Amino acid sequence: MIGKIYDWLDHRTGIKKLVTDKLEYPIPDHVNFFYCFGGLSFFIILLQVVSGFVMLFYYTPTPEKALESVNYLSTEVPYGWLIRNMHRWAATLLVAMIFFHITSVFLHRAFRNPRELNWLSGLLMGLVVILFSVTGVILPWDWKSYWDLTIWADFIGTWPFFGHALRDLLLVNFAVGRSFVIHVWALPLVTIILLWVHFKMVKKHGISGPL
Amino acid sequence: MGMKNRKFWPHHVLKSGFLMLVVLAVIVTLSYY
Repeated sequence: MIGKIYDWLDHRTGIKKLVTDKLEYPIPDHVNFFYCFGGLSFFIILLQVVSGFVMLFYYTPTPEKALESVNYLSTEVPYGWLIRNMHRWAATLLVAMIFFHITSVFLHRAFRNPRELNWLSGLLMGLVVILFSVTGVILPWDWKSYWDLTIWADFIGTWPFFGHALRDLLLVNFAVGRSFVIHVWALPLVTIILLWVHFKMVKKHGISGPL
Repeated sequence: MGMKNRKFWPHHVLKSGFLMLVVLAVIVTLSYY
């Protein structure tokens, strides 16, 4: 019965070839535990997408309502506290996973020719994750968010030449509303593009050699 | 080198699936407390 449905679907979509391409390529035998961190990072990113999407239903991106809506999610919505905590802890673990992934790739010397662009796209995604956490912390707009933004603004203000201008730009423009747009629209879009490039090149060059 | 080059499915999918479950369990446990 399932085979029949599968055949029916395959006749119309060619899904069998797709599944075969994705699942049946051989992986070298030297692959071990230390090769898992990239995949686990991606898994956590998927968790972040799901938990973030759920929170979108409840969050209000205005300075007056942000904290109220976050508190409502944490106290009134069934399992809202779990979703929010998972988003927060997964973010922390994502940074750890990325750190292990970068370390592993570095020690395997997998950043060398022909994988330089893969290394570069990965580092860019690391930067994007930092921007994700900076904008994400601001969103609840509680005291921690306020002082986080203040600390970042002060720090950027110490940079030479354009520091002051950048700080003012940040303080004027980077409150809850725009952080929200960057956190929920701009950065995910950049991440999708970089991930696509990253994965395409992993497939193209294959898994790097053993230590 | 006498490598078998096992296919992605099921060997690596099951192994990495197990690791994903572990990561999920860690996240849920941390979130619970």
